[in-house]
Amino acid sequence: MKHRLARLVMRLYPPWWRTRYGAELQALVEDSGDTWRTVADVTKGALIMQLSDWTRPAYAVLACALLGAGTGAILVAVAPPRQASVFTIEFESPSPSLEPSGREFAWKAFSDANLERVIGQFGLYRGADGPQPTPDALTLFRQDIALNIITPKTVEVSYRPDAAAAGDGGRNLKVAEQLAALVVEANLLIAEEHAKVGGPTPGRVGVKDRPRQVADRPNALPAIAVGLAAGAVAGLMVAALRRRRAPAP
Amino acid sequence: MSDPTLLVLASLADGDKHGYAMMVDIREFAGVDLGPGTLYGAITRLEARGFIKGLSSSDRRRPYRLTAAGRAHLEAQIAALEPIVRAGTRRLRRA
Repeated sequence: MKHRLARLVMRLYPPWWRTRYGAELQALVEDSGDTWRTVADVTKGALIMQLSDWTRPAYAVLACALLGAGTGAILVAVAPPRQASVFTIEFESPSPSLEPSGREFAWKAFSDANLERVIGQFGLYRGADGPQPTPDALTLFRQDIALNIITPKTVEVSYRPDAAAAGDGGRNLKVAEQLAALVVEANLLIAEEHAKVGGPTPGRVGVKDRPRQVADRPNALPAIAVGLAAGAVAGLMVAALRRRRAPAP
Repeated sequence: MSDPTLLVLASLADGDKHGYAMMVDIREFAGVDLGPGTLYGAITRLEARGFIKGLSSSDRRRPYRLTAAGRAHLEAQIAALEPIVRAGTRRLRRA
């Protein structure tokens, strides 16, 4: 009975190994005695042989994919955190949702004229050849400002200059304070405009949390996913090369 | 001292043997019971490194022979072990 079990366990060995040594091992198992120790030893031998059989494509792919994912995670861990300046604004509006008053406030506060004024005030996005901002400074500034809706009435505003444009943390914080000031200023402008046309008031917006500096680490998941996929592709190539070079068993 | 590859090389040093003969021989000279899986794991590694070679056989019990490279490897391993054995024996005598 244990011999039969040992013969079953022998199927766990890699196919090339069974072709070369299977008959010999089977003869030895029959000669060795009908014991559980023999079954356990053959099982251990099969597992070790599987683990050391690197010609198997699955192992090469798995190992390379894990290596890639690990590399991605390490790169994210050692990357310097991106500095961001954030503040939170809150709407006091008769409307239950952020729209349309939120959009109106955003357009008014972060108009081209207002943002160009901030760019000039802080000398942001300067070209390499002079103190003037680059032609695409306004576009870049808009890309670095993000509005993140937290609740129907609360929005987090962040200013995250990319590495090339990043100034010192103190300047970034002052830029965020200026953006907060523009939001508050928009209250007055919108109230004046609505008073002129005599429409319903869109409410008010206030700065809930003052601008503060935060260290913004990049999201590790995309880096891990890319590392995993790249590793798997590399593993497939390694497996194909090994299979081509492996001597016939 | 119970490295299966070293035991297999030592067993084949005095002549060709098949798996079961190696098991019996190793049990006699080293007092180590190698299981079939462990023995064939060692045989696989040694044959891959060219230290032993399987001889042609009509029987399932294929005999193995120590190659010149295997003999040189065994001699190097024994030479590396000798000072350890000598030092250990001397120190045990003194203690």
